[in-house]
Amino acid sequence: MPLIKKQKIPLLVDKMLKKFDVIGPVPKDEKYVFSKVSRGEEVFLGYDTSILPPKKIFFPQEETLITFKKDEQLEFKPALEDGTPSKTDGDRKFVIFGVHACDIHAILTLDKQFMEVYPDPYYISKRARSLIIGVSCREPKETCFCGIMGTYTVEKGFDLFLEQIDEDEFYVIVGSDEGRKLLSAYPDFFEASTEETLEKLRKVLKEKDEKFADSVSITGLPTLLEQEFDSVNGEIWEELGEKCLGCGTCCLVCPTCFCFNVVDKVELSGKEGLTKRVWDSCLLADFAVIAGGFNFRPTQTSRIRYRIYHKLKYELERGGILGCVGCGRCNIACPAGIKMQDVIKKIKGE
Amino acid sequence: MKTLVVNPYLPIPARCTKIVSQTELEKLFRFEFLGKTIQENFDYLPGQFLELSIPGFGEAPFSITSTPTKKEYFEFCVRKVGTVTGALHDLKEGKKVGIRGPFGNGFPLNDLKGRDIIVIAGGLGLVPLRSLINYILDKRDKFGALKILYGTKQPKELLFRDELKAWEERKDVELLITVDAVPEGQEWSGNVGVVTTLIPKVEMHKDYTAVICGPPIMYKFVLRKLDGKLREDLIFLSLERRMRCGIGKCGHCAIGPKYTCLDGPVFSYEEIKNLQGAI
Ligand SMILES: Cc1cc2nc3c(=O)[nH]c(=O)nc-3n(C[C@H](O)[C@H](O)[C@H](O)COP(=O)(O)OP(=O)(O)OC[C@H]3O[C@@H](n4cnc5c(N)ncnc54)[C@H](O)[C@@H]3O)c2cc1C
Ligand code: SF4
Ligand code: SF4
Ligand code: FES
Repeated sequence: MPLIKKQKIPLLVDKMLKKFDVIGPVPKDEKYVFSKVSRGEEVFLGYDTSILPPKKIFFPQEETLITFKKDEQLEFKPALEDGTPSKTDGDRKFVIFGVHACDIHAILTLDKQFMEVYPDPYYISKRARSLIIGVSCREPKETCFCGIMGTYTVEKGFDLFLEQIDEDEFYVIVGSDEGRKLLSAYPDFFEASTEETLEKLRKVLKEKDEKFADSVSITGLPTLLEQEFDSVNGEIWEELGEKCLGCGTCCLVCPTCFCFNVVDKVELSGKEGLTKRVWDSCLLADFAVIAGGFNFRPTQTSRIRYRIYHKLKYELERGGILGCVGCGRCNIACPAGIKMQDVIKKIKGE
Repeated sequence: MKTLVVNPYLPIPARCTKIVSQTELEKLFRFEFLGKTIQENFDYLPGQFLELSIPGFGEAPFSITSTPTKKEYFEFCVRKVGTVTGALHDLKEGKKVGIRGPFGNGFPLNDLKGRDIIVIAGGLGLVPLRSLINYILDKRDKFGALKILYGTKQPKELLFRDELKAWEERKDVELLITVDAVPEGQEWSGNVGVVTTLIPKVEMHKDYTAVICGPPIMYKFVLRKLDGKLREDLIFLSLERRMRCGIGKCGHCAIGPKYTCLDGPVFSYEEIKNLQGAI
């Protein structure tokens, strides 16, 4: 397996920019955002967490699905290219450089949601053109709980993964054929690993377990939740329901939340328009209202309980995948100070 | 990864060929796809639904109320409650809309074939059940006894009056109708009381298959009345939830780990009995 020196990474990105669009973590107002870069130096691999996850690249906040003509001219056309990173060249591939393990887990969750049963052509058109280069996290941020969710390492879902083994060296894990092709396309940037580097890697991974793993784990959580729905400890849902403001911010920043609403917009001419999807949140009061005003989740308690069950139980039951990857973004964003890991600990009685 | 050609979000144009007013709030709409081969190849199961799109107003799910045994058209019966349904009620014969689907699982015909069946409908719940009833009547020898219990709030809300009459006259169908109340000025000589009051009036053995559709609050009461009388795996309920996509993507229709649009809208009681928030 190969190795890459830290100072070579910006040069590699510069080289890649000749063939690909590159999207990476860049600083913005003391935080970080995933953004298209034009120079390798812009990519900042030492970031802690990005405000929004890479989800926005495959599943943008607003996306046109259909353009239509009204009335007698009635016609519907798919609007596939809207919102994709490269509008001019629809087939140009792009590299997302520097995705953390937790966010890669989240992409696997989205893949399951959007690529199975009725495959979603809008998601797939972008996902199929993406290459994912992961990068390891060296310290968990205090808001993170990947240690509980077991998501601080990842085995698939990337083309290459850069595991930092000391201040200026990264060990490169190949995750796909496309990843292998990248290595052979840019041979000047990588060097072969030695027995010494392998030893370093083993040490780093071991230290990582010590640094990241939590005494609390999610084992048994779905079964516990089965019993907690409205039992004696139902109090925790009441408590959360009282705290939660129903603003929906947690869903907007979450890398696994996929709910959306669909709306029509008519052009000024009144003759044509478009249908688009927009991120939605199950914590908004009218999310489950049907005609006649009947609300299947009428209280904030029922709504926040639903979100937590979806994240920690239902998604596992549906597809054996995680609904929450412990990225901590909701903890940072919540104006009411609701913390997912506190909820988990409470359910687990810790 | 392969790029896709099929787009499940893309509506197909269909023309409205007939509109019949049913009540003050409900109209029956007949449609045909513009392309003749599309219409000829269009197939569905009773209990499935379509997404109907009126560009500029939006999209909404509606049960198909016609039966797949009639190949030349498909029908909806729609209550006017808001934006899309309002625009649909303003539609004139000859005008076009967009259609996606069919979606959902539909009624379990395999579990129904050869069996005695009781259909319980409350209000608009008759809309999807009409598809099933007419399907059974078109293939009468494939099914056992057919008993239909139907209730509405008041006499003027009864749907499909001509068909109710025809069903009532058939020897191989037992139809009981009730209304919750008879407000002044409306004529009614039949049963008065909620639909559950009809259940003790029909004879059923333990192997009857029940198919139920009605407003959200109805299910609890019907299930209580049926409790112990029928097998839980042979009680089927068609459920309504808010839907935006119809294809298991938008998250709106979730009941616990199930999506009503994909795993439903028809569920057996056994399947959802312990499902949080289902009934
Ligand atoms: C599987 C399925 C089958 C169905 N079959 C039929 C059928 O055969 N016939 C039929 O008539 N209907 C049927 N429905 C219901 C139908 O889909 C709704 O009536 C329709 O979606 C309403 O759309 P609208 O744009 O007219 O109403 P909207 O303008 O969306 O709203 C109508 C009403 O819904 C409530 N509402 C909607 N959005 C909100 C919100 N954001 N906040 C608060 N309240 C809100 C309000 O009470 C409002 O008056 C079916 C639904 C499903 C899921
Ligand atoms: S629920 Fe919170 S911690 Fe979990 S994946 Fe979503 S934003 Fe991250
Ligand atoms: S961010 Fe916090 S307050 Fe807002 S909806 Fe989510 S949990 Fe509730
Ligand atoms: S309607 Fe969108 S998931 Fe069921």
